[in-house]
Amino acid sequence: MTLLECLPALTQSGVFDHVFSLLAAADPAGAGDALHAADDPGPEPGEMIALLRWTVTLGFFTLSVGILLCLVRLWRGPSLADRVLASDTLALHVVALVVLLTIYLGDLTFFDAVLGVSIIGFAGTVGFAQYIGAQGREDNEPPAAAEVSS
Amino acid sequence: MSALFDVIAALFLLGGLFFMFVGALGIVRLPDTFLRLHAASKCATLGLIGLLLAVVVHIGTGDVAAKSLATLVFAFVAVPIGSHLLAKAALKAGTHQWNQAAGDEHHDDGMHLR
Repeated sequence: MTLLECLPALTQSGVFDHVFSLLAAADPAGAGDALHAADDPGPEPGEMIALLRWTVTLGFFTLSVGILLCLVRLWRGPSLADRVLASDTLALHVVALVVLLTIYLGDLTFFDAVLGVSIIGFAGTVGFAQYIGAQGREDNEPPAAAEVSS
Repeated sequence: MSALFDVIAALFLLGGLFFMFVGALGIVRLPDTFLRLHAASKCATLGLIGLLLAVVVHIGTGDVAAKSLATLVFAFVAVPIGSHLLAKAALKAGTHQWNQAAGDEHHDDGMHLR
C-alpha cells in the first residue's frame, strides 16, 4: 500500500484533525503569525561605533549582490570551468558573510566556519579541475596508457 | 581607543568589500574563462585580506588573530594553486578564448601541457 493510497483512509480516520488541533493548541494566536512576529528583534549586535555598523550593513548588501552575480555566472557559464569558478567564488562570499557576521555579533561563535568553508571550496575546485582536465585529455590527445607502454 | 580601532576596521572592511564586489562583477562581465579566473583570484586574496584584518582589528583577541592568520595562510597557498589547476584544465579542455586576447602562447610553439 503506497502512501498515496492510504491518504484517504488517514483523512477519514481524523488524524489530521488531531494534528491541527495540536497545532492550534501550541500556537493560540494562529500558526504562521510566528513567522512575522514584530516583537522579535533578532540577534543583538555587539558594541561598535556607527561608522562600522553602517559599513557592515553596506557589506551585507554588497555581498548579497555579489552572490547574485556569482549565481548568474553559475547559471549561464558556457563551460564547466566557468561554473566551477563561480561556485568557488560563491564559497568565498559565504566566508565573507561569516566574517561580517562575526564583526556584527562581536563574538566568535561562527568564526570557525571561515577556515572550514575555505578548505571545502578549495577541495571542490581541485576535484573539478582534475575532472575537466581528464575530460579534455580524452578529446584531444591519445590516452596516457599508450604513451607509458610504448 | 576602541573607536579608533573601529574606524580602522571599517576602512579595512571597505577595502575588502570593494575587492569582493569587483571580483564578483568581473566574473559576470569579463569575456573569457581565463579572464574571469583572474578576477576571481583577486577577489579571493585581496578581499579576504581586508575582511580578516577588519575582524582582527575589531575583536582584537589572540584567538581570532590566530584563526585569521591560519585562514590567510591557507588562502594564499590554496587560491593560486586552485586557479592554476583550473586554468590548466580549461586550456587542456579547449575552452573558448576571447578573440582579442593578447596571444595564445600554448597553441603551436611545441609547448605541451602535462
